[in-house]
Amino acid sequence: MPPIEWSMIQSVLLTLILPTCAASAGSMAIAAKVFRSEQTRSLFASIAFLVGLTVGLAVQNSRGDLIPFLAIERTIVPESEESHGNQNGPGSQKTYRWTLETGWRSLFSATVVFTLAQIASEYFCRRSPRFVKWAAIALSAAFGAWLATPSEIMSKAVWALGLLVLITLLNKRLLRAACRFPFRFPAPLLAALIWSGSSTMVALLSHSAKFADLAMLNFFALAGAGLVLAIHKIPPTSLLTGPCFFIPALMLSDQQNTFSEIPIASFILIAAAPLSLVFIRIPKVRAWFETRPVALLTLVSIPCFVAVGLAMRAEM
Amino acid sequence: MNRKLLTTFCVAIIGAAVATSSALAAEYKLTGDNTKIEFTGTKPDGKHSGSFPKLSGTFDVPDDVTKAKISLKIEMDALESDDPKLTAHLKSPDFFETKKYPEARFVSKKIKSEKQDFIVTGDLTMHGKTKEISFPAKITNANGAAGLEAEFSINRSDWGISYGAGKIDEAVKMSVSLDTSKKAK
Repeated sequence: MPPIEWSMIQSVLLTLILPTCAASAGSMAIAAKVFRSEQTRSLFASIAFLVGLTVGLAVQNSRGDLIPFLAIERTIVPESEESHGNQNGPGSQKTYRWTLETGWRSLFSATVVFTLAQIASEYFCRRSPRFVKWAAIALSAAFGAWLATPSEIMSKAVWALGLLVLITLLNKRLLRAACRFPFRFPAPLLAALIWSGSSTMVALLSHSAKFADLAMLNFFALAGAGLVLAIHKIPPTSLLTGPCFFIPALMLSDQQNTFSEIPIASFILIAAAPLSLVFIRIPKVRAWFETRPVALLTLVSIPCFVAVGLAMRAEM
Repeated sequence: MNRKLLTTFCVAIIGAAVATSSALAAEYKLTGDNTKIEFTGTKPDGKHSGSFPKLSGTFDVPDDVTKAKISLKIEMDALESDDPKLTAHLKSPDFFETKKYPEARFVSKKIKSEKQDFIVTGDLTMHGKTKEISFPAKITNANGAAGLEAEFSINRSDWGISYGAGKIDEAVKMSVSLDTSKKAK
């Protein structure tokens, strides 16, 4: 691996880390000051995450395209497909077709759609029957997953779309369950940061600066808002909504679009790392974890470290 | 008299046939066996080279070389470089994004004679973008075989490949050589 230059670190610090962190932390700090209700503050954490992601992405796009905010592709309609009623005759005027591009380029818009839909379903379906709330959550996850899934997977392995939806919803459910533990220090937030940091390592090792930048945007947007939540002792329940979708979708796109030697197991382990928290759903085991935050951290860290280890072994 | 007329007629027919056949373009099939496309990317502290070994196309060359046509289709997923990790990186969305853009194409539009060489102008479609390029080339056509040698530079950001701008040079040196006497397998 070539030596890392200070100018490169300085560039990443000034153009990625600081803007993303500052935007998410700043918006969360404002929300913590303005809103009195803990539930509203917690709900606003999802917005703060999106603000951080948006600002970070805007700065990256200003320096060279990372991913668009909305991936719309413009193509020229071939003359043979133009209508016969074209009085100007073929070839005199170009006709354009606009199509929504699914896949990694839609990762940002898919995350925004998913996160906002989750907030809306939690806020507006509070008094609705449980199945209505779950249907809204599942539909928004399915739409987000469709946006973020590469088109070749849609045609060859549509089950991967269902798997992405399932992993996203289970990740969210289990991390939210962990957030209800009466810990003194923010173990669920730290677990999410370890998870996000591991996705960054795997993206770096897969030889893609774009996917590594996207993973770092996720990490620092999470860290910025998370720091403010930790200071105010607010559970990061809603903050983790965005990353629960972003990280699995990113790993899917990374595995599909890069050509490294990293085994597919690495990508799957990262995408589904929070599923290791399934043990806390067992009542007797749950009681044991409630007083041991480090054990909870270890549970999430194990698949992350195994994934990074496999990736490093393959690529180094 | 009749014999003389018949002989003259036959000679005229044969002459016309020869003239017609030489005016017809010779069409050569191009593959990775008879065509080499190589590239070299540079940065302040070094350089890396690679090639596109899988390609197909045609090279139509009449006697008048300025009326020749070249058409090439390059399989981007088969690209090679001097470092396996670099090859993986080149195929990723940072560079060629070969999953989305599996092919590059070059179609010539015009060949102009200039001193002892030629200037080939055509459309290069790569990474979803089409741009006209012109480059000098030595083109030969004799003894039933045609050849082309060219070295030129392209600016990768013209095709939306802007990774590492400022650290990796924008200009990429290209080298094209084809020799139709090498039979395509």
